[in-house]
Amino acid sequence: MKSNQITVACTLCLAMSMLLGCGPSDPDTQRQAQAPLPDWSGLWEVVGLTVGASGNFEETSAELRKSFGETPPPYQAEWQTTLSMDPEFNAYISAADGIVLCSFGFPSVMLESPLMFEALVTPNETAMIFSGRESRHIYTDGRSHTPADELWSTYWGDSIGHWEGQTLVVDTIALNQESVPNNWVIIAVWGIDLYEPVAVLSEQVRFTERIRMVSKDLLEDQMTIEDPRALSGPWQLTHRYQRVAGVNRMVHEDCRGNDRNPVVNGKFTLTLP
Amino acid sequence: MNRPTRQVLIFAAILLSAVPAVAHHSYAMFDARKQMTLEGTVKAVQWNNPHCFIQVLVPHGADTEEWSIEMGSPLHLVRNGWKPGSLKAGDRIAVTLHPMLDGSRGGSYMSVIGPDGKAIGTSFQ
Repeated sequence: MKSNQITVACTLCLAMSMLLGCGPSDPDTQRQAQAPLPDWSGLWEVVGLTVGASGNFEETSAELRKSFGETPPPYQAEWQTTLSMDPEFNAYISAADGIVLCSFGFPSVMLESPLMFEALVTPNETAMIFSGRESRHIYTDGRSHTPADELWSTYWGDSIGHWEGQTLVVDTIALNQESVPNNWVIIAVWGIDLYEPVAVLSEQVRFTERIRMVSKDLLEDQMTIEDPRALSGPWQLTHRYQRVAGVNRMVHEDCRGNDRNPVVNGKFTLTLP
Repeated sequence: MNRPTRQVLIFAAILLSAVPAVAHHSYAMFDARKQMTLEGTVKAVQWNNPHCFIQVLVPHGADTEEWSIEMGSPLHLVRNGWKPGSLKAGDRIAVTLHPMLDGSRGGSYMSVIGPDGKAIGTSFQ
């Protein structure tokens, strides 16, 4: 074959590959060449949190804190001062009693929420659908994060991921949290006895997760939290999720509906007949 | 503990005492230190989001009082062994609850003994 014929053949081959979406740079082909996607089907819930029929957690705050380890977040001293002096944050705190949250958002849905979730794994995206009608969309099609001029912070952030064998590695940025000012992110536990803070992170926080199945009925999320404004170094957490027993389908929860807990004078009340 | 750290923790504690909990709001309206058991008749079961309720008619002298027992969402009731028909209007029950702090006739569900004398669902008492 002459060189010009080879060139034409290669060009045609490349064009066909691009048309069919099966070129060497196509993520689907790359994944198929590596290993089959894991099956994470089923309903999952955070290990260590028990939600009774009351709707509240059964564990104490101290018990729930154990899942965050013995080491506190490595705060920068300047961040601690910022938290205590920020007027908007303090105004929010003083008016916080009576705030209704309809979204836990990330990372709360993965760390400290009572919500159950499904994880739907596809070549180009892993979607996590939570019982509180929230979802995470983790794109694994090789894209980069949304460009800065098209990006704004949300409760669930901007997530991209890739597979390392059977482990999904997720990078999440651009977070905020419902009603918390300054796009700051609060991680907290709320036990049956009291509510307790674990961390307050800045708008610059970034989460890297390594999610994998460690046994048939157990998923694990190794989370590395980096925040150049709030933390002096990475903060690492590991949480696990177990298959939900006794529930055979996703049934969503909703903060609307038969809401009998109106806020009166800044406090929750109960509407009686 | 240096001063800024202490301030942060104090602020956070105030904040989180008000942050909505599991079912989207604080449980501070209930007295978690107290529990009481009511014996009465189910008037209705409200099986819906965001909270299910048991409405119970409780004898009080020559009259009856209606109490509202707040529970979790339907999903969490199913998770704890309940079905929509686990209780019906007219069922005689004994329900244990954390009462309202303000003394009104309501409370947060803890457990229930059904008309057959058996507990319904999982109990954490």
